[in-house]
Amino acid sequence: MIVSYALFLVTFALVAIIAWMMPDLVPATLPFGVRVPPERVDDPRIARLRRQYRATTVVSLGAIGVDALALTRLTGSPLAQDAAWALVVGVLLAAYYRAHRALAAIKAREGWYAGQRQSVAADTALSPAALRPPMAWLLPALAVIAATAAIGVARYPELPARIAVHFDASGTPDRWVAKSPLSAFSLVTLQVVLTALIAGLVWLASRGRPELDPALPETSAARARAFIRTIGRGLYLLAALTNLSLLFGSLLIWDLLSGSSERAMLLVVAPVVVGVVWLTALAIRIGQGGGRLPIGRAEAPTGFVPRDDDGCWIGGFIYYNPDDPALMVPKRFGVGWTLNFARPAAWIFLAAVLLLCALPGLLTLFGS
Amino acid sequence: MIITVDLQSETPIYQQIRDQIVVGIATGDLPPGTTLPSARQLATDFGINFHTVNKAYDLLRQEGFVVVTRRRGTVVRPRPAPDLAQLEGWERRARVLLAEARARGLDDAEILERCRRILAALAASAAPDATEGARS
Repeated sequence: MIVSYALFLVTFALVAIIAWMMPDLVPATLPFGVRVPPERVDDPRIARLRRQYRATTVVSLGAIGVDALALTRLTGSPLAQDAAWALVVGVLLAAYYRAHRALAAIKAREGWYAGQRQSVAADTALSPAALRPPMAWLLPALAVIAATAAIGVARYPELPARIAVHFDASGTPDRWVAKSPLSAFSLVTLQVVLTALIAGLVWLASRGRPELDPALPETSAARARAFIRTIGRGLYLLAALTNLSLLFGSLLIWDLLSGSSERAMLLVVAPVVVGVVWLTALAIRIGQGGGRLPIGRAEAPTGFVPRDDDGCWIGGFIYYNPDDPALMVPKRFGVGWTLNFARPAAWIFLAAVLLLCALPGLLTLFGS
Repeated sequence: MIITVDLQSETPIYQQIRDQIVVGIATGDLPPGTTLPSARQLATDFGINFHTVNKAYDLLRQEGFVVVTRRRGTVVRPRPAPDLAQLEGWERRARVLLAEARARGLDDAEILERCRRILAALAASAAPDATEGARS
């Protein structure tokens, strides 16, 4: 029970911190997903929208979190937490969208982009191969998979005919299935699937667009390069830590974890939590597109501003641009990438990810 | 090398890309043997239509600045021996440009001095703070 509370508190705090920080993590010329020319970034109305957004998020998230914890204590059912997450998503989307709409209206009314020299810039040296983090960073994740599989192979003959495959939050088994390679190695399958998913994501992101600011092309190219390499490395290490969690999970299934069930649960949960917290800290430190990295380069003013592409973003967060060959583009209000939904490949990718996520569930369904 | 496309310029986008790559080759920012990004990758980086970049690459290939190899893609060619037929076209264009300066009242010494300055900037662009001259 304590582990489950702590888990909820940690994830909830993480989301709240990210939501609070987000206006500072995105480029100053993209407040609330609205492209603004550099000389407008200090407009007092943008600062006011930031304050409003922060007040909304901190008050509502605080209320939702406290209520969810109280309800969980009262009813003992995790349903309150699921409801809390749905509410959080709704509140954050609404707070963002309100600020986005207000700023877009000001920009349109006052013609902020009139007379600007809109342009796009690219660096011929930023090839996907130059952006991709070295594959060696994937080795820890693969090593953990190999270790888990090796332990499993050695342990398999001694396993009883029925094995526990599901545990409640306190680490007590609550579902058993017949022993089979599929059921015994279900978490190894999950390790492979997750690692492949993360490697695929890093590969796709390196082929996406490192969006350069035509006002500061050299600086933003250096930032874009540092960003994808740092986040890529972080994702590879997150894969390793998640695999470690799944290794402990497998030990639990194979009855190799001694001691209290609470302690066993902590072992399972801790690595992935550490990974997520660490990746979040990394994202906060470097900012979207590496915008917060200390890259001080004196660059002569080019006189250009980025293209006003607000029209390609439905609601300010869904990218739909048939004229853009890019599949993955930087998010507008977030750290990382999103898909260009005008590309059929985006829908295929989305379907593949959903299928991969459902795969372990489907496997245990048919395996039992 | 940074390539910047001015979306409001009268000059077509493919021409802007072609021009900046030629300048990059002349300054040494793109030395012979440099592999250029694939047309699809460059179009992705700009967020513009693939055919626009392809048109620039086709032009560069026809003019002999780059070669396309199956293995390495589009590669900057070693400085070729001056091709007289290509230079004829260049002279025609240079003639119009120089005529413009004369028609605006610049005397020949002034025009030559300006040409010399441009050439010096192209040659010096390997030095770190001269790149902006090559880019504009």
